Amino acid sequence: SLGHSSSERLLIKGGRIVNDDQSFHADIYMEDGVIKQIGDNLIVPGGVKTVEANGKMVIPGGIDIHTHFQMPYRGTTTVDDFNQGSKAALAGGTTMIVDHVIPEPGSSLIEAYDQWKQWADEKSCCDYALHVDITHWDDSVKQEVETLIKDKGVNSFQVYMAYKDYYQMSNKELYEICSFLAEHGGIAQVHAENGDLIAEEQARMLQMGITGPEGHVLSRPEELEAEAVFRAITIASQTNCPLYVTKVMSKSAADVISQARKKGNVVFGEPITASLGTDGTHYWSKNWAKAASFVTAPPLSPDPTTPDYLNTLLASGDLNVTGSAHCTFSVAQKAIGKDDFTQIPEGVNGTEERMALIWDKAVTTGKMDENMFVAVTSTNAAKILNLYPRKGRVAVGSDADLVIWDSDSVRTVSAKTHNSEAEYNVFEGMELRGAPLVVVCQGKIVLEDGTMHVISGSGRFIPCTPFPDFAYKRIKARKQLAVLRAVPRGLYDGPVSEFSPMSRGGTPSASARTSPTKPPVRNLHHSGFSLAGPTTPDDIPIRPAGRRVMVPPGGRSNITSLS
Amino acid sequence: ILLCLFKNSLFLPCGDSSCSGPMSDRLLVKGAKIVNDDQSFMADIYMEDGVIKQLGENLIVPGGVKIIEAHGKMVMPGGIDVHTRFQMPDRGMVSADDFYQGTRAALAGGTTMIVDHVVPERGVGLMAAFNQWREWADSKSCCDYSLHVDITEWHKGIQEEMESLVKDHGVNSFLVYLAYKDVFQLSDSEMYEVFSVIRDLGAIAQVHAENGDIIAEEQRRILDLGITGPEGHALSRPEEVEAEAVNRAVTVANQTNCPLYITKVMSKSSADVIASARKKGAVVYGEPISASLGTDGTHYWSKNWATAAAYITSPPLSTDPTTPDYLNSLLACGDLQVTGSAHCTFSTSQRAVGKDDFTLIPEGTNGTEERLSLIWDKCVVSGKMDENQFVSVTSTNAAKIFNMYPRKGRIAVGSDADLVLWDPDVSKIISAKTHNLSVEHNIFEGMEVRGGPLVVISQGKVVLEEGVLHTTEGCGRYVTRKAFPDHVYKRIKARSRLTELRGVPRGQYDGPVCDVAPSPKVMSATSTAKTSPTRQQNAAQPMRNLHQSGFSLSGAQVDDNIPRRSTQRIVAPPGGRANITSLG
Repeated sequence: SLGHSSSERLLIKGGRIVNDDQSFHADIYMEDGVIKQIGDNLIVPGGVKTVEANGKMVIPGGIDIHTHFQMPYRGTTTVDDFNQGSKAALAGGTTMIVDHVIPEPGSSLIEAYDQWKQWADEKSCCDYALHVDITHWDDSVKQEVETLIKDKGVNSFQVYMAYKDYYQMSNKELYEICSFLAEHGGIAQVHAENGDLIAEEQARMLQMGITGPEGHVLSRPEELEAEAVFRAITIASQTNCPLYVTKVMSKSAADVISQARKKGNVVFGEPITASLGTDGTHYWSKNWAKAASFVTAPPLSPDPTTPDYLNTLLASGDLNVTGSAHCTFSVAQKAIGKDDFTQIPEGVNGTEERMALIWDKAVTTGKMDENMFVAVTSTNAAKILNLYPRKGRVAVGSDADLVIWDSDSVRTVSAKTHNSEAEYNVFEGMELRGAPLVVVCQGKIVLEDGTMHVISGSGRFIPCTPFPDFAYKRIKARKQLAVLRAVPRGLYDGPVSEFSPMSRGGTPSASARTSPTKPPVRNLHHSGFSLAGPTTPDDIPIRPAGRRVMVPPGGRSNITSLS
Repeated sequence: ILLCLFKNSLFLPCGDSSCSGPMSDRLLVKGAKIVNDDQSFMADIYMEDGVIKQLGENLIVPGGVKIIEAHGKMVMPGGIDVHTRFQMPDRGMVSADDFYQGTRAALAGGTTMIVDHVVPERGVGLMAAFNQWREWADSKSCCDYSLHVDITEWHKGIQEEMESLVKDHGVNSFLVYLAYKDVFQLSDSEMYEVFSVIRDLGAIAQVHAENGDIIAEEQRRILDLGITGPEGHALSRPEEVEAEAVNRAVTVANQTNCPLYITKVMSKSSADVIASARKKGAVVYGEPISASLGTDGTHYWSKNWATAAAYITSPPLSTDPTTPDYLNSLLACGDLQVTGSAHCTFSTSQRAVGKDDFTLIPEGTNGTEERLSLIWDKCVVSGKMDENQFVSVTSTNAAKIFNMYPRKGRIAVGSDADLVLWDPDVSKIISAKTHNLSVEHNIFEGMEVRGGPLVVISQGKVVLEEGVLHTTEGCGRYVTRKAFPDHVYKRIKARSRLTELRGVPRGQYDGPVCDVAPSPKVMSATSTAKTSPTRQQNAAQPMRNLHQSGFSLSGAQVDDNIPRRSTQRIVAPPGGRANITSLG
């Protein structure tokens, strides 16, 4: 039903194919949405539509791994639905999006998943996949997560450490979720901010009479983001679960991720278009509507050197994937919070600008090469989602999602010309070098000569399978190493003190504990006094003070210390 | 002059006449090399009524004064063990060393003051517990002492008690627990509120830093695996869990602009977190203890259950045997500042309460007697630090942080006569057979340490001489500590002036506002008030012409006339920084 006979076959001639590992000159022949041949002097059927690349780069279409199209918010919906959103994505050279399903706390994950799938199937103009957010946790959610992984093509689940009393998960829940996902081959994504502290700070700001958008960033300093990232990494490492930190917005959070990666943790960081392209100084704009349009969480950092820093870490491989977290609201919607910044709906644009922005900030500046560009905009995302090499690579058998990239084109970003419904664009006025010339999606040309030819509802749901090698090869190896063993000892048969029966780990009742007013009587003049006689000699000789033991006899419990 | 001095001697330093015999009121140390934290110099020291009266050469002193010849050996301020838990109640038991036995051990090792932790049972109240501890210590302690108070629950009443403790009872430090889930553990919100109160009172927030939620999960997992021995203690509390909690405490302390003190730094990772926070400017102090500086967690795997159990403490000793050396290095470079012992000992039969379940083993290790010798051996003998720095990490820094300086922690006229004549050459093998404790195991068993006290003077009286202790039960005085210690609060005060936040003055927004469901986004909401996403598919969605692409609701933007900054950099945000630690 999707393939129109005229557009089923396509040949791109004279392009320079850019994958994440190498670039080379070759022609590409596509049929039925799949790349059939790559090489020189291809034998193709007659009458095939041919696009001349003239030596320009042909890259795998971008994968925007984080979108919130058509997201319900307190009775309204974000202004860019799956049609408008995916159209904007395609206009920028992104040929696949991964949207977040957000079930209301207490409601069914699968129902929400079905709902999102229905919306996307009706409207999406490009292929899509879904992350599912876990907004509450109990046994029924556990079962649903298992079903989603096994039967519904979802392998990534996001949990929130912010939004206290709403989406926020406790440490215990995070631990259980990570353990569960590790067992079933899922990826744990976190929205990392300390919700408890934010709630305290928000109350403090409002008390001080700060109600405008600047209160948003003042109540969410970047330390709170970094703290939560650190905690998430600890829990993930403890449960041996691969971790994916969505929306890396600050230097500190990025530093925590890169340090953890140096120690060997399996953790991926996702900066977004906004954090790579702009900063949080705009929250102080005198124009309320403009200031509000930058409101997103974690907030943009008020430190204007942040975008450059994050681009550098992206180039060095400390951060791995990029999304847009595209979630746009109209000014009237943002104005829900005109008297109270905590009520402003959160989200910024970025799906259309993502590729050009990274090209401009990272490739034209010499931070990364074209291959690395492909890795961070497409290939790494495909690997994490277990869609590689179907997506994220120009190769025979891969999906025909391609972009002919013009590295010299210069465009100015503006709300007047963008493909989003929002009145503001957070990158307004920014001049970006690099843009898609031709975009091929499912083997069909969707952008050519600046004109879009999209079909609403032509996007397919792409199921993601569990245990992606990219994340799980290491996890599996570590699981084998991390087996814990008890020390075989004889039974202790000496005297045992009387004590009140409640366990230290349980909830004590004050009465269950005897008051500490009567210490046992003891001969205080006798100093070396010993209850059990002389010290029992050890089986093993006592190690001399200066000697070092390299490994504890029971093995290490810390799986990330591989040394 | 003689008459005058004689009159002075009538003013006795403590009311209890048993501990101030006229014979020991006056003391002269001759030919000493005085070692303070800033410099060393040769001088004589004359003490009277427990206070240093004169310092210098050729002092004019009354006749018949007791004289100690130092022969050029070092005399340093007595050690301050900033963390002890003598006589601590635990589930109906009491830790084996009470205030008498504990302070005797401390004095034997060259420590002349201890700071103990008051641990109120939930529901008992801080004041009642504080009075109980005072009673215990007043009747038994052989050296001066002070008290930290632990916050084991949080509500309005506790806040009032804290205020009274700070204002009327000389307490300026409170400890919160991030571990011991469902018993002592506080949530992040509670920690935030406690720290805010502490900062307003001018006190210091201490933290037992371990993530109790993760520990509870891990303990269950380890027990499920059938691991019930002491190795389970270390396995269920990997050092990451400590580092995580330290990082979180630092974040909350920065946020509330409250000075932070991490008790028991046991692992490299948590020491690293402290060091990097200090580099960023956070007001945070780290306290490694005798155990973490002297031994490691490999002993948890001992085949002898009683030996393995003797090492149980929380956070646990690190299983990485290079940890002690690493922590000593950080202590020497100033990244860690103070040392305590966290001395909390239990007999083998008390430990055996947990013989079938490691989570029930009472926690704590010895260390008050060994602390000074151990640090001397590991740091000064090895050349990591000099004698002056030794004094600062064993005594002076503690006195400064907790506002007892220069009464304690320094040899100066007017300071308390708590001194140690130190012999850097004496060598000793630590053993449970010879220690001054009532427990069967010593975690430093067999360790040979160089450096030890030759003479110890507490309150101007010789309490250790020629290897013999002359202590008096109950002569230790309670030392009050004032709020707002300069060493800590100068920076905090400056920062609280800088961090005033201001809103942006804007005209009222008067455009259209969407209608929304009444439940606020972040506040607690009942599930009925929330609209479920399945219903929202029916909600009217804005009609929109999907064929028209550059569609804009409001046309030109209001601030289009303002030139855009795309490449320009703004050095500071117009509203000032919220992050108080980024001073750059």
